[in-house]
Amino acid sequence: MIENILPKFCVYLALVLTAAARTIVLDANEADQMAVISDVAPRLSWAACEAWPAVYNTGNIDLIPGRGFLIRFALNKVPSGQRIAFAELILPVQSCSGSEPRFYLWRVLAEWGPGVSHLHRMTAPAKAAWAVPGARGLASDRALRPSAVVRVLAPGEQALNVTKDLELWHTGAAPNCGWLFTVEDPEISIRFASPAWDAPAAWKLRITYEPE
Amino acid sequence: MKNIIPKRCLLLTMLVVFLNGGLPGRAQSVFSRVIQVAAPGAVCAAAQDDTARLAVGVRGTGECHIAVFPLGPAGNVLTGGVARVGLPKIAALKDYTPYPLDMAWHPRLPLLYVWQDAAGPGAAVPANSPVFREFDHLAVYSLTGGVLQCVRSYARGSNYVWGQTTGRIALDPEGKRLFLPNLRDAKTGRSQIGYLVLDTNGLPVAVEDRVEPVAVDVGDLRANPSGLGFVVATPRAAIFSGIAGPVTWDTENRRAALNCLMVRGVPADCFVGAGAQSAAVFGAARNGNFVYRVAQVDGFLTMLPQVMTVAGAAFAAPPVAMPGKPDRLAIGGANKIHFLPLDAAGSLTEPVEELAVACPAVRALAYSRKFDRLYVAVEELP
Repeated sequence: MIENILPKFCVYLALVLTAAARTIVLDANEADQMAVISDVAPRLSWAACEAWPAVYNTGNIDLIPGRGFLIRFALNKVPSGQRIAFAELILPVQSCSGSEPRFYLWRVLAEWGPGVSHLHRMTAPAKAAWAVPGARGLASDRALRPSAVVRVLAPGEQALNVTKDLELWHTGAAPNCGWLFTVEDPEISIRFASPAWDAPAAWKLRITYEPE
Repeated sequence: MKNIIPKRCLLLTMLVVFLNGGLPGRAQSVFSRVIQVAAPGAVCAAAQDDTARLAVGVRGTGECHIAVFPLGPAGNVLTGGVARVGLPKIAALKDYTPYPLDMAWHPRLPLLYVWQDAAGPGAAVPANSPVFREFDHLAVYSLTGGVLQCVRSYARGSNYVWGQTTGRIALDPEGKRLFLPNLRDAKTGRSQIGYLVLDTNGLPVAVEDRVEPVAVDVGDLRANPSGLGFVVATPRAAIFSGIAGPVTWDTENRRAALNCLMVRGVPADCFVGAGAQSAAVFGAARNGNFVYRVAQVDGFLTMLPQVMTVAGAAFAAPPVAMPGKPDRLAIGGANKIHFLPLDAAGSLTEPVEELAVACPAVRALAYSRKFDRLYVAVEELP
């Protein structure tokens, strides 16, 4: 436990000692795009949770194989002329099942928008397909490697270091197309409290920046 | 009830005035697009561009329940040539009073679909109500030579709840399906919605001599009345109102038939509406002031909802998109119509404009894209 906390503590300490550094915390109320895509519901943008058989709602985000959760935070609160010193994404996991459940966080490479679904990254104003359905195209739909792979040992908050992704977006080296959450292992299910319904405040993006 | 046509309507209570000038002030441009029609007790209205007609449905004690007005070249309501009919009285239901709840035109044919209900005593054993045996909830009228004639009626049985205060219907833009409210599973009583497949003549298709809707159980998402509005952009998918937000019914995917986008803060009873071509569906709280907007593509809900409240509002009808210039969303309320501005992206903005009208609950609103006019039925003209 201590070995997990210590590096993070050192980062915070270093940042605190840098007097000019500032930390802001965004929550999901400041996400400007979200969607949940699914192979069994290839037209839906919100296949978040199958509450009853064939009835989907957005009361939770249930990650299972074949389903992906997309979210994009607006980052305009980070001033220009600053560098990202540290960024952390904090997520509320409510439950999980399966053998050694873990989820993947991917940086999305392709712009997505209205009508996003398993087949299309947007359908309005014009249709544009994912390179591979489900945004599975490596280096086209999503980054070649995941930004994080998180093994869920127990329900509760999960913190992911996303500094590199924020650096890319803030510097303009890559467009901010948000993240994609998936599970890649069979028979895994991980439930998140819904950022689109009753738990937007539980999804936090903590960003520390300082003058370049 | 088939082919029962009132020969005459003795009470012609509807007067029409065309307000050409609008009201002074900065809001003149939107108010000048409003045409008021005097129709006491009006509960629904529908405009058809091809035939240039406005239909108004009235719930009242008079014998005239439906009036179809011809529209002039500028969309003005003409006072001559008005077709009027009363809903048929049924001998076996002498203690029951029929009333319209909603109406919709076929997009291409001169056919008017009327969804009607009946008020009267409940049966000691609800399942034995004579309404189940005798009352047709759907009547199809043709408009020929200025005469409104009931072609046929449908939707009878214990799988239709009755005595409801609201129930909206809608056709898809191609006229292939007619979506219906206020259905129930006759065995379990659970709430349903459904649709009828229409033939090229606009009449419901019978299967083995029976016209029965294709229904879906919505009991987990909406109790009856289930018809607080439909937005039907394609024959495949219809959006209706759930207790937690708008719901898509994808009629072609049984593995994901219903999809509810839950909207934070939404009251359980929200009307939904919008023009079929609109890129968004709008919700308005029944007797409340809460409004939401959700983008939709081909009937599928997408992206994040936008919510707002309108101070002092008590909405009485589904929102109606007015996509002209300026772009507005019109919602009927208590003695007023609320006009919510939409920005270039179609999002709700402020300030909300309000037009006072003489109607305690403005339920009968209809928009004509051809004429860029919003028609509203009121108790009396200004």
